[in-house]
Amino acid sequence: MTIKIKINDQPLEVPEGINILEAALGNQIPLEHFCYHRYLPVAGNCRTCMVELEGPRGRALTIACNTKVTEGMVIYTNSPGAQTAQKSALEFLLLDHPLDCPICDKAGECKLQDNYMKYGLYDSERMVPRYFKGGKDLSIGEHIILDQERCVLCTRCIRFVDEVTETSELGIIHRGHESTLTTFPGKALDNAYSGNTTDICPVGALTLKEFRFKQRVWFLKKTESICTKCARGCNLWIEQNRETVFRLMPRENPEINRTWICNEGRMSFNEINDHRIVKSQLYGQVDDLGSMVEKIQNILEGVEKEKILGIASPWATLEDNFILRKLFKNRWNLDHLVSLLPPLGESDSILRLPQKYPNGVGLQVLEIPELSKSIIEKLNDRHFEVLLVMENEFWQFASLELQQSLFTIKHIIVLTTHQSDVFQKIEAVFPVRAFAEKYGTLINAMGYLQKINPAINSYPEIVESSIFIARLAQKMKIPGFEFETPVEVFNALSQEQSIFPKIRFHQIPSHGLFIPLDTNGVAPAPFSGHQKVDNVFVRGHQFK
Amino acid sequence: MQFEPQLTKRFNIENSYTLNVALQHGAYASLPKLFSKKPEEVIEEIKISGLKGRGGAGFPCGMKWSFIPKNSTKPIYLVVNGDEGEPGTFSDRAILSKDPHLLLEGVIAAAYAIQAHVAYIYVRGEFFREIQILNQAVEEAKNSGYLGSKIQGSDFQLEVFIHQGAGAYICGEETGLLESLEGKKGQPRIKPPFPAIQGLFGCPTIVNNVKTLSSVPWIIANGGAAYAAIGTKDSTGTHIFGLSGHVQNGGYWELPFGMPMLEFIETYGRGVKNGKLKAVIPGGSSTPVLTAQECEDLTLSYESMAKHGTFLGTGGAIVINDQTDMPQILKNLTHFYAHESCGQCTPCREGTAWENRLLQKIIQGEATARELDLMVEIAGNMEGKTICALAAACAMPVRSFIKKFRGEFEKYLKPSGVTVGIQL
Amino acid sequence: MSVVFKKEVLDEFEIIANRYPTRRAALLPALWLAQREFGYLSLEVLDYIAQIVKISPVQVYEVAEFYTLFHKKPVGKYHLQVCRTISCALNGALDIQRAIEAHLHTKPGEITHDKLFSYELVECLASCHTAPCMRINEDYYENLSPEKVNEILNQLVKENNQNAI
Repeated sequence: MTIKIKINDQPLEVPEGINILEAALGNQIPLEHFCYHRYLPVAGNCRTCMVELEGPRGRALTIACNTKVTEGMVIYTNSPGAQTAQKSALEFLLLDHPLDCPICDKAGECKLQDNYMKYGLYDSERMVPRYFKGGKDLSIGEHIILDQERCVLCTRCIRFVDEVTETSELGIIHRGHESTLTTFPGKALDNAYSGNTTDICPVGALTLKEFRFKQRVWFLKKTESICTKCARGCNLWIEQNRETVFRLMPRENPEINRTWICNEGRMSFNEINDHRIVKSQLYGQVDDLGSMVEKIQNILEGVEKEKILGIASPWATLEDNFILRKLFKNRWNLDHLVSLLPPLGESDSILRLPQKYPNGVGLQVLEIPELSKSIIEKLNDRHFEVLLVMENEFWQFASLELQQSLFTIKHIIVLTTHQSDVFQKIEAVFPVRAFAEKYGTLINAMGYLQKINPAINSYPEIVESSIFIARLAQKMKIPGFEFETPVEVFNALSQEQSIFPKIRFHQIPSHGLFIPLDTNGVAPAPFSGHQKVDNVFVRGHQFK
Repeated sequence: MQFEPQLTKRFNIENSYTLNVALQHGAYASLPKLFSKKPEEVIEEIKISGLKGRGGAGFPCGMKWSFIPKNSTKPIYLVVNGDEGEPGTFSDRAILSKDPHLLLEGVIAAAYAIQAHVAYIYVRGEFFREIQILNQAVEEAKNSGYLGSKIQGSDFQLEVFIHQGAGAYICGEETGLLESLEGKKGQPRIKPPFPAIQGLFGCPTIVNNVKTLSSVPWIIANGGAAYAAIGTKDSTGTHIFGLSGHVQNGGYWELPFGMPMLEFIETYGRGVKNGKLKAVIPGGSSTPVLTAQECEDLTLSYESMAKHGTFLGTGGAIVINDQTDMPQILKNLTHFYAHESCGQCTPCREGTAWENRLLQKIIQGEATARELDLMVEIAGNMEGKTICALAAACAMPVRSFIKKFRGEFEKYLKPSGVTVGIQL
Repeated sequence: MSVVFKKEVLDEFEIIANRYPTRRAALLPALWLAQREFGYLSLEVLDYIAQIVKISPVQVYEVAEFYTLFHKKPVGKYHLQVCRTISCALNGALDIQRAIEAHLHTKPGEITHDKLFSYELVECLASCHTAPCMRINEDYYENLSPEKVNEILNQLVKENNQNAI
């Protein structure tokens, strides 16, 4: 249902039930705001989103965030009355702000800065000495630094810890202009989602220790991606400069993660940069890629096709697993391609799911089963001569018994992204691209097919698992592996797999494509018990 | 002035706060009549009476009660606002300590009209002795069948609890009070939703001032029309008016609306103390100040106050003599509002303290005319731009003081043209 | 000192808590009880109250810091709250303050060395017609003058000495 309203004399049709602020922002009509956040209860305290409404007794000021649009509503965001109110609210906010932008990490994405440039631009006229509002550089948690004098007391962070995590670590003490954001003395802001408070802080009051003083935000280039730390598949921005990832930021997706991510996902940016393997290794020693490929080609061509065991991966993309499966299907025995899943981990009713990998559903779609009893029996019988492992660091989580039997296989070939000590025991280790370096698709536990995109290209010489296997297959003169990029692989697999709509990679929307699967419903919807967000905004408008 | 006191009739009786004495002097006499009416008839009677909220805003009481949704599936609450904190106001405290049963009688009537079965009386924390008296009154009323189930043989049931505030002016604002009652900081709520729909604990709630409810028993007993015949056309009934400041005899007196302000000061306050009349803040410190001249045709009524650009407010007038330095008085008030701002809305949180700091600078002789103009501008940027009226309550005195007594402020200023740099 | 309510106090609290549909609504009463029992609301006390009201400590901290009648630091046996607002100011509140400061040698917000008196300035106490006024502990003292203040303070010292005997 849509209704007709007018903003600044411009006729608009907007969804029924949304508020004026969303109606304006969704139609590219700028309107200043601090305390409003789409996924938090309305507080209405910053008083910056003031608009004028035409009424029976003339125009009246109101806050846009707490006023729902009604049929025929006539709204002004740019009338003199509204503009004075917006401007003066901003002036009040900036009154005792330290203006330490040169040393503030929020500079460049600070609402005070942005709004001043857009709506303020008045001459500063405090006329009295500045009042100092509290402490700087206070460590209030493992990841969080609080700067009290930068705080504009919008209560976004408080509403987040009250309503989303329900942990209530933050509060404002004192009254009036002495109001100060704080934790209870001696108690930390240390919930599994605490990093989000730094995203929603409109100013530099809450900053992330891991990002402080690391990089100016205007140098960062953003790439749409997906978090790989669990089966939720939270939407991310990978933010990098000069091939170094400085932070992972949540990317709004109303159905999957709203504007939140967990700390574990957020901190995984380090893994993108650190401990990468970039050269092929023979028993732990760097060796020439060409000769190693030739070597394993000989092994694979020389061995009986029944004696090859493949391990697919819930961390790899659909494309990677698809190509591996295709090779087993076309050349070897498909029954000998299995996956290994790590034990279940911590979960909650907000975002985190116990499956600590991003593409378990993808394996199910490709009908790659988990390691079965019969395979284990064959392993114990020393049946296999070749083990081909793709992006599955089983040595990190598999039982010692299983690891022992796997390591008894004569020829072990591993495609992987990160360095490990076990490589000394492995005949051939080939580096492949990690998730921040490649195109690909993942299916999350709710059944959304989602895209990852390359954010960095630190190691142009290495390729994706799918392309590595495709090239190997081509070398082995196996037809049907003429792929140069994962995008081509996806386009082929979407034709082949009946479960997918026949779409091409670039047609997958950035917020994912819902695929009706038997497995849907396995994962709980996020935020069970939390405020519903249906019909609260203009679809497609990203909230900042 | 000849009239029948309604609110203060038992004030001068010894031990009037005990149930026995109160009963001997007519307490709870309105209950049989109350229970003979249907709740909606009671609301209608209050509407006819023209009774307005005595807490300061003057909202028609009957209309407020009628906002409670019919057939609510949630419990309905009555909350009594006894958080008397407006400077210049002190008569609720008198009712609480001298005639708590009058209030309880009004509480029963209001609760019956809106069909609330639980009422909370929120009393400001400083009134420790008054709370003791009130608690005793509730206990006595309960033991004698005036509270509890089947009150005086009716089917009506009501529990009354006393809730002690803890020192915050803002809890006098009805939604701030509700927050405080719920165990939170007394920060006013954004509206909508209004308390009548979603108030205490998310349920339909009516919040009424002590004096408003204490006015109800008389209306029940004598009818709305009889009440409306007292006072003036738009200000019906009686009110307890207070006088403080520079008067010979400060105090409170129950009067019908309509008495001229100067007569009130002369007759009851026995005139201005230590000088001549300079100004009156007519209804608690938040209402715009009036000059002596403006007071000449001012009467104690909602309409006369409105005509003079001010408000009846709480009815507590503060008298100021001609020996008084107005900037100093305004500084006293801006300090009050800066101290009492709950800190929620930006314009109030920052504005009240900014005004206070600017005024301090002016009084120290360090300011120019620009600071004075800035004060007026800030007042404009505060008023009407916040969740509750505290910002306006600060802005109105600032604007009216500077407008009406600008000369006194200018005496403090440095000659204009002197550039004052911004201190960082 | 371990801050825990005695059983009678805990029972008293539970009776009060039953008056409200939410447990949090009993926070102000709980803090009043705590102040009565422990004299002032230390962080330790606030943490304890959070436990019995079943909310987070910072939510108790916020509330305790919001309301002026809750003492966040120790106060004297006699705690003086002197009104500074308009009607009292017009009637000589400043003289009252000076008299107290001279008598007790303290500034607002301080406590005397013998911990007998503490003194603070407060906003309007709703006793404007009897200005200037102050509260000492639970009681109002009205129509004050500097002489009367001295008398009251001397009387309190005497009362305290007598009780000591």
